[in-house]
Amino acid sequence: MLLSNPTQNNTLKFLVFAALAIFLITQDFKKQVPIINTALAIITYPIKYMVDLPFTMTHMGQEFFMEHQQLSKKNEELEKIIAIYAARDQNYRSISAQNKRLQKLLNISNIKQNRYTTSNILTIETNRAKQVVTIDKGSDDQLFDGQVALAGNGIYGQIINTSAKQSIVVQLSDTNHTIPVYNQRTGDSALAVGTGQTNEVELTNTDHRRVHINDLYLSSADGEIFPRDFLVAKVKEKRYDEDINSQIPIILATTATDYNRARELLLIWQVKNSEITTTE
Amino acid sequence: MEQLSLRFSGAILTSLFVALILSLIPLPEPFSIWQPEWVALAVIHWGILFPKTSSYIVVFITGLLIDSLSGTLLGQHSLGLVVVLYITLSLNRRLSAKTLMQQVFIILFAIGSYLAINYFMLNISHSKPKDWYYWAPLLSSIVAWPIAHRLLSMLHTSPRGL
Repeated sequence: MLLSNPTQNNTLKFLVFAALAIFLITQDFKKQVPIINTALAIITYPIKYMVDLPFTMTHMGQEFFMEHQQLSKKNEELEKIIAIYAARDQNYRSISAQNKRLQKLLNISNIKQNRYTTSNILTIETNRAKQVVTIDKGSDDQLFDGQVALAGNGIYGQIINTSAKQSIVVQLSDTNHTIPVYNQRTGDSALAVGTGQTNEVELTNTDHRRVHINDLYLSSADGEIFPRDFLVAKVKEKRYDEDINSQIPIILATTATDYNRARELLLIWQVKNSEITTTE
Repeated sequence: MEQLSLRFSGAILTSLFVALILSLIPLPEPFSIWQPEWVALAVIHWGILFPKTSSYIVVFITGLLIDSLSGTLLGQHSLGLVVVLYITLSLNRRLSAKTLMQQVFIILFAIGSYLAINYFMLNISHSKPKDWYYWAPLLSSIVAWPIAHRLLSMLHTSPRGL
């Protein structure tokens, strides 16, 4: 009799599923359901791939139909860049050899070297409160949680979740993200905290009087997560918060990475000197 | 109420899948905050027109897929969508939404709760949205409703007078 009443039946079903959802939320909050997470990631991979397909196709199409003249021009430019880099590389090699000798003299090991791989962004987060993207490589390619992603010559963010074929990368501008940095001009250290706005971070824990507009901030290796000396952000403005009537300004900086444009990421492995066997 | 019939079996699943894809496609920057909640709109449509066929299980699993795709807490969107369906079914039983105004009332209430639940959950997972425009999809969903409603109606025989 109870179940034949459609209203009560509906409410009962609702309560069962709502309870199930809340149970799942609490379990996921405690990170206790990795199996379900992985299974879902495998199911949703084709969906992400499908959504990304039109973008990949147009990109490929553009390259295919690019005119010969344009291509050769681009090629010329790239070769010029390669020549410049090759010359620089020579320089670096002699410096690194010198470095190694000096390290031997001083008995230091543990200098970090880096290994890289590239990856494409599959989907950009639709959820406006979280600045995360999904990339098309995962633990099959030895990616790991906490790994650093670069775009161009700046830091893009950090991997927060890996599954077999894909990983989720959180951007520097996410409100949950903080990166230790230092001022290139003064050497002062600071923390760059995400503001939730695209291409923007806030610099905290630093002496605001010594920060100027257009100062560059590079990553410091404090905490040993991020590699040293990569470009993070450039100071954009110092703003006084009128609501609080504060004497201390909020320092806002533009990230080195333009998150609207970046489609390819470089992932970085920091390898200790003694462990280097092969580099890609 | 349920004299309508689906044009093919699996029409509801197909429409939810398409809505899921639609909500994943990134809009260009100034419009991205106005992305309507397509999946919730589809759930409301099926809840109003096919109350007996609407299934909590399907809605629950769709929510799980959204959570996996957007990296939110597992179950967050499931809870939201289950609430959307419950509100739609309960309100629809009382005012059997035939006019646009009644439907808008249901959307306002259902998607409002949906966004509120997500807001609460995002707070818990420390990625609290800062700006008012977190609520922009509520408005854009209402604007998108007539289009979604018309398109989804192609998947079933239309009732007289609607």
